Amino acid sequence: MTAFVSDVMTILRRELLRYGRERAFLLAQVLLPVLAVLLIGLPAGKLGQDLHYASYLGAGILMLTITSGAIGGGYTLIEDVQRGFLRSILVAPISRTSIVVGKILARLLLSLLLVITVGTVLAFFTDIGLAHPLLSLGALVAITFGFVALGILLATSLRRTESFRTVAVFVTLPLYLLSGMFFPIETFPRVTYLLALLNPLTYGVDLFRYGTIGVHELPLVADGLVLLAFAVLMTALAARAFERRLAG
Amino acid sequence: MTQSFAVETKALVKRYRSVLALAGLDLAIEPGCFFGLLGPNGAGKTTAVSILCTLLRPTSGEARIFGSDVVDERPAVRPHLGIVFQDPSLDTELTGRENLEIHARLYRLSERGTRIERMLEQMALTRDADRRVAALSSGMRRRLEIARALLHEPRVLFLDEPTVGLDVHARRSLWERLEQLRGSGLTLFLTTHAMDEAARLCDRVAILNEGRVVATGAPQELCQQVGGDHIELELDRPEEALPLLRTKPNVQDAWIEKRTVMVKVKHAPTELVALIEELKPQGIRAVRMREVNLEDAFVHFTGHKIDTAGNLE
Ligand SMILES: Nc1ncnc2c1ncn2[C@@H]1O[C@H](COP(=O)(O)OP(=O)(O)OP(=O)(O)O)[C@@H](O)[C@H]1O
Ligand SMILES: [Mg+2]
Repeated sequence: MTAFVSDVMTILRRELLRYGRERAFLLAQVLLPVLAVLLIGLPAGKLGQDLHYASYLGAGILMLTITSGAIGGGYTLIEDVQRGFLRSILVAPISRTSIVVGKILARLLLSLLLVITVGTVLAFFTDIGLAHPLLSLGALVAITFGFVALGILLATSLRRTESFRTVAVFVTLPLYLLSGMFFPIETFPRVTYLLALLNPLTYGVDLFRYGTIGVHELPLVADGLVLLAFAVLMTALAARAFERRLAG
Repeated sequence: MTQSFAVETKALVKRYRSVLALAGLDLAIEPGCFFGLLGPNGAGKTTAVSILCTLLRPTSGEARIFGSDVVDERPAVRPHLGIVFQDPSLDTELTGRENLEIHARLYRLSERGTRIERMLEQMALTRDADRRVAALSSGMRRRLEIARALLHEPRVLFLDEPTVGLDVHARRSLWERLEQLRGSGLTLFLTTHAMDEAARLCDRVAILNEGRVVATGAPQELCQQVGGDHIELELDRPEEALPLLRTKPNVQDAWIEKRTVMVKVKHAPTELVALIEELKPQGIRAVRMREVNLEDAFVHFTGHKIDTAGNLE
């Protein structure tokens, strides 16, 4: 057990060293949500009696940052396979699980850091705060697991890994648009509303928004159950796809 | 299995869909041996290394490292392996030192700092240790891979064509470094198609062709099995020499090339003196000889010629 923890820490260390080299990218991830809220959210005024659109959008955009970061994090695992680096880890006396867990933890840590940084900035001019911190954290963890796994699944299913970014945009854009990140799904037409209910990200956004600004559209129990199922299922699928990929 | 070999395989088979990469490989390598697996492109060298390193499942047969099965007892095998893969496997975004640091942690080494410094020193990488790997030359990267493979003091070191892309100096210094490790108990498993490298480093070699071992033994033994040293004689009257030579039982072949008499014998150093005595009347101006080398043996056993890039001609 202690060996497992120390292996996970080693993988985590490597990931953080790598993320540390991408400061420009990290800065962009901080600036983008702040700018979106300043330029689009604030001028839009109020959504309900007590709800500013800036707060609503801010929470959604934070989730967007986490989701896209997580997908990219999943992709790096396959990148490691392709670049040959992973083999040097696979021959070491450590378990495969610790590799995947280390990767996901690194992404989780980064997401957390991002949410805290951006959230703190946004707190100055929106209502984003710590309404229910544990629920926000739960949404963050589930979405990170689920979407790191989605990144792994996408990358392993592609023949040409270079096309990952294009395909990822193609797959995620509908998920984003149909998730209530930008607008309440109640305002959606009937068909799109139903589609939104089929989208697991909708529940992540909903729970996260409740956790940060105390507003939600769906039953919280539904949010929790769907997210749990999504995270577990995706992680299992990704683990299987990854094992297959390694078996060649 | 009474005594445990450093590396042992029995009837090892690997099939990739339609390709039979290994067709029943039998190897038994003593601890401390410097062993070379030679073979043309596609012979199955990398496949054998991947199986032995626990990365690839064999289709059938078994393989053991110090008595532990590479499929069923992976955790027992892995700590003993040091590997330089044929293709690069460093993290190019990290520096050389960071790569070693991560590796040291994965193997749970103590005194990581001192070990790393010493290894960097030995591989002449100290000056470039804090540069990103992506910015290093391919020879430096190769040395870094070797440094990493040796860092945890493995019992078996696998080198899959380690000197491809190295300049003459780097090649020699790697050989010298490996030479220093001889006798330390380290077992070397080297694959190569550079015959000079194999001849220089290996106590024993096996020649692999299309997934099968076609010859095995010390490089000298293989050369002797094949035979065919060449003696070249510049004579005043070469025509007269040919009939004479052809009657001699130890001469395998004789012909004239550019007015030089070429004689093929089994073992030149012992034949030379007799030959000179014999041909004195024809007026000897110069004598040269070339002993059969591992490359001749390789060509003989694989039925192929090989160019420097390892491609069959
Ligand atoms: N992943 C794979 N899928 C299908 N066939 C493969 C795979 N890897 C190797 N092979 C085939 O197995 C055979 C042996 O390949 P291998 O890489 O072991 O040769 P090698 O001796 O290392 O050659 P080289 O000197 O070129 O490195 C080749 O015919 C090759 O095409
Ligand atoms: Mg090879």
